Amino acid sequence: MEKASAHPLAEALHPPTSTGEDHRKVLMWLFLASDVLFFGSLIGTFVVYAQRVPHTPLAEVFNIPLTTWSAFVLLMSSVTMALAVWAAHSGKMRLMRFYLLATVLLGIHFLADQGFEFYHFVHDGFTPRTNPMASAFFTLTGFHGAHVTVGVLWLLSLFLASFRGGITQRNAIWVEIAGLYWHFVDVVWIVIFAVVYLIGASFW
Amino acid sequence: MPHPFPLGRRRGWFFLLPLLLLVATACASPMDTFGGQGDHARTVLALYWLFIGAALFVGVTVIGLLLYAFFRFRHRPQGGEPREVHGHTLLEVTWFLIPTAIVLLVAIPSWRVVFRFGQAPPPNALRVEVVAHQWWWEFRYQDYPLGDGQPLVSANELYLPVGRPVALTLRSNDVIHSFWVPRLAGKKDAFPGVTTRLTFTPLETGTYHGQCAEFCGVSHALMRLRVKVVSGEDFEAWVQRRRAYTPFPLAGAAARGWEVFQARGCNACHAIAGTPARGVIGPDLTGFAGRDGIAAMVLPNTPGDLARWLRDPQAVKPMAKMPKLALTDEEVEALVAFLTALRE
Amino acid sequence: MAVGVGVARGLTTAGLRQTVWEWVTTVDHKRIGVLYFWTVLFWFLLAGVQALIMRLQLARPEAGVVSPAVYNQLFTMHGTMMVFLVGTPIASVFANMVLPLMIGARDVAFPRLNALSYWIFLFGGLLLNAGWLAGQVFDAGWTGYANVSTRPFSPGLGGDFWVMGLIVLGFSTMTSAFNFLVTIINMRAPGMTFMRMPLMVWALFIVFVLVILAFPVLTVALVFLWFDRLYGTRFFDATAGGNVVLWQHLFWIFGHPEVYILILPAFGILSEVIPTFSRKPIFGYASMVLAMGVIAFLGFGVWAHHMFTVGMGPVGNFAFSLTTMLIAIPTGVKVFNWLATMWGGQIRWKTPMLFAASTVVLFVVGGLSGMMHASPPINTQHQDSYFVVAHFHYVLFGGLVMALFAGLYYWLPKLTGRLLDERLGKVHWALTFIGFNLTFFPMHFLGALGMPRRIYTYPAEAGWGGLNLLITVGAYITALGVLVFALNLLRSLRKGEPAGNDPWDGRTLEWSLPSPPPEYNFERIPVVHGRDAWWERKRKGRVPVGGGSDGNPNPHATPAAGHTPGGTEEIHLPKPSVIPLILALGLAVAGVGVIYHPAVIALGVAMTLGAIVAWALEPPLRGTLHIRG
Repeated sequence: MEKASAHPLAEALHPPTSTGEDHRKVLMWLFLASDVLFFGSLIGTFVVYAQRVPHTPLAEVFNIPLTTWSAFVLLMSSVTMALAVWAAHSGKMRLMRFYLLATVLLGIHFLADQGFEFYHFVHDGFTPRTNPMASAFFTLTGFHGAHVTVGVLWLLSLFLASFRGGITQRNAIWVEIAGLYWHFVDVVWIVIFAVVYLIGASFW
Repeated sequence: MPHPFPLGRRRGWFFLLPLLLLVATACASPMDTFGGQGDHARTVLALYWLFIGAALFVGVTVIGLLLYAFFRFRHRPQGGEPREVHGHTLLEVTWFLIPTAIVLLVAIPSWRVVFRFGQAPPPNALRVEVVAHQWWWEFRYQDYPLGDGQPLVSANELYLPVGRPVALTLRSNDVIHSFWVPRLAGKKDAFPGVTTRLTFTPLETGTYHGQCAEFCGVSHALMRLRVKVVSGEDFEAWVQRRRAYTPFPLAGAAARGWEVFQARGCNACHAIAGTPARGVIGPDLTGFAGRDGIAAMVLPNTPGDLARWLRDPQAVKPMAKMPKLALTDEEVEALVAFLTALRE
Repeated sequence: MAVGVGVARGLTTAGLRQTVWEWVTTVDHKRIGVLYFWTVLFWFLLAGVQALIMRLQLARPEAGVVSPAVYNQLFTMHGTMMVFLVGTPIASVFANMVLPLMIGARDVAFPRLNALSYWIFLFGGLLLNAGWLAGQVFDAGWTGYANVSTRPFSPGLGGDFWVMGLIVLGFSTMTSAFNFLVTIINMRAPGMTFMRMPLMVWALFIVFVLVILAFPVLTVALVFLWFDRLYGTRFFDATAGGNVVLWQHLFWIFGHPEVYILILPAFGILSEVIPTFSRKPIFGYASMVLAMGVIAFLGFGVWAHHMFTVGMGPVGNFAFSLTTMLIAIPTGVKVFNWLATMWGGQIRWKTPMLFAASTVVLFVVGGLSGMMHASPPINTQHQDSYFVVAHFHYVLFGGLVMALFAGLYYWLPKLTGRLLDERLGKVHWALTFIGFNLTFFPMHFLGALGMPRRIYTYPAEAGWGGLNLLITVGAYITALGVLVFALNLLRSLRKGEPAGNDPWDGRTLEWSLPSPPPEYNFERIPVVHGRDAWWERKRKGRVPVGGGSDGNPNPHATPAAGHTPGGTEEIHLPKPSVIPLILALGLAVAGVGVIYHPAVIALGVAMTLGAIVAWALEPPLRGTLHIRG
């Protein structure tokens, strides 16, 4: 009997699949589809409450310049992520490590910005308990931040694993799948930024 | 060995059963949906018969065909292999089109009623605000203010004049409830923070039963009501009596009861027209003696039941908001005398 | 390995430890299916007992058997368990038992993820019911409407166990769905296109698509309730401007697809059992697929027909009535296709077919009462009355549970290697059919007589006593039927007739395998040339393996996994693992921590994260089997 490889990040054997796509990539796409419904419900709730519940105008609550910067940071992290995927597929492992780290740092920067933003909200009396719109806002952005955090931890673990030869050109699919997740989280933020912050500050 | 349909000839019993049950339903209920004594309920009833007819037609046809197939195509030893049939386009199109036609046949009259029910109430409608509480009903007649400008308020019994549209606006003081008097109208939910509407015209005089129809807590089952539909003149007379009402002067035990009513703080929650009692937390008690029941029609309105309620409300209605006041027997007697004196 | 053999070996202590460990670490989908089955059966019996107690209470006016508080807890947990712990996992029960066998696969796409979905199911169900131990049980109905379910009106821990239990269970359902979706998408045998899959597989595919789209919405609703109850947010606080109807919208946007999640596996079972026992192929395969797809799609557009009395206005009511009425049409098409399948057949009235045939009849009844509700004006008299209780029990018990029994009598022998007894099966069926109709048909009349639902008692003058007594008798007859089934099951495991490969002369690939199949299912991955691949092979001698005796390998088939033509098969065996159990336990512990103490949350999260890391580092395979060609 063959012994399966004992290496920590050893790939499972890959029989041909009916679609030609790796199981794990299909899994990630399905997960992202379900996450669309998750965030969609949160965003929908926010929009309903922002319009219906009496509250301080969002233009007075939000710090649009700060949020614009952090949105840009997250957008740039998607660029570095895409570059990391390219590097992994090309076998350029050191370059991949560089771009992975860059993505992690940009992600942490985004989270720090958000933490700073929330601190000031709470300080100014805008908390999840203030009114239903605020509850929806913090739950929505909080879960998004949680998704970013999971992404940061995942990318960090890929980064660390790559030092021991755990990520190779052969199993670059792991980086690609993490990249799918990361890009999705970024796209969700683009929607949140547009709907909650930009439209919110203009109309609600 | 052939596989006969199980139960063979005794299958006839299957069909007898629903018929027996149909007959058993001849027993009516004061809550039945077939009374049609309000225009809303009557309109719904007409639709109901249409749908029941269509459902019976479709059900008998389809189930009949199924049962036929079960018998006719059971395995027989000389049967052999059946012909492999994978489909039949014309047949499939037909049994797509026919159900569609039947659906439209019942749906279109239905939708017309939807839009008719959605119209605004007529200008001469009697406006009553229904406020649902855990676990009783408050009725506020905005069209009939009392001397001090406050609306005429009643609890658990809704007086209505026959033949005149009534425009209910519904809301709740706490959780979601639902106002349902099936012989007069379909139900409408009552929400905290949002107002809903139900408009109907009672068509026959009488006393109608109702009940909360949205789970609203532990005593949801004990939140009933009565609607008393009377002639137009009787209704006006009732309004006049309520406007002029005062229980005073009281004598004997009833007067003692009024003292207890104030001393034990009942007036903090309850209001009685023509007295200083102005509490709004609990049901209005004006004309209490004339009501059919106590505690939202859970107990009959007899002195014995009244005493039972006063002694321990939670034993009758779990978690009722009315406190258990540890009343003495003498206090209970006096209160009963007072409350039974509250006749309009 | 058959359940019976495992149990026999388990009767020695060393054997017991080994057996328990095998089951605790199994990643074999067939064993996971057995675990799911027993757990679902347990919850079904528990929820059934709750119903029997309720029926005792309602048999007479003001019976006083249980207090109002306990009655409300009973109907809440009965509904919650039947929907989330019995009905919803039925898809996972059957997917685990037979789906890979039906598509010619040796395993599922993610064996450990599959095991995880079971352990989360177990621990989530325990968390959901933990309130009974704490003496505080949720009592606001399985629909948990705000705002009676919020803290001010439902103080106590019952609501918190309910919310956290359901959130954890959601992970189980989603995980199972993800695994089987990838399995169906990616692991079909060569030549098995989507339009050649058995209809059971199609039904499960659509169910799992609905799951991954609908459950996130429920999760959001539950999160809102969780945060309101425990952290003081204002989602459903009417005094702060919150809209309590928001709960209903979110719940039913999940809830309506959920009822299709519940019934579609039944449709799949019918589409396998009826052709097999009629000895004819399914009539109108393509329209059956289309019908299920349309039902699933439209199912997302009907949710507010649960809210016709909320006051959405005529346009809203009309729109949802329209979509709801439309859904009747593809459903009707399916009924006619089943009828046409039987038409001209040679129907063998074995127990699976008895249950399947009665499912169709009872579902028609349930569908017709549903059509009546679909009319908003009629709905104002039906909503929250026993008419609704009658409707959904006809579709869920008459529809789903009857089909469940059909599927169990049909497929359990494949897993256990033993048939269930035919005579006991017929007695089970007769008691169930009679008891069920006696229980639920009179409820239509009760509803027409104005009896609201969710009431613990009623006065004598309401005139509901006679029918209620009849219903209670029916309920106990039904329970007798379940008892007979339990006896049949236990008897079958010990001394049931050996099933052999193909006891029913079936049409699909699972019947080409031994009962029970080996761990790796297929020695050789079959190559499929059309629908009903096994039937074709038996009747027309087409050899399913590529490069075989017909000399014409399917040019479009990809080579069977690990197959060297004419040579040795390489079969990769997955490594059993205890990590899924630990991860699942971590989630449940975190859920308990949310209710009791942050330190326990930290413990649960640590367990979960640790398990994830261990999972990533653990090799997924334990070895390779070589089978000479």
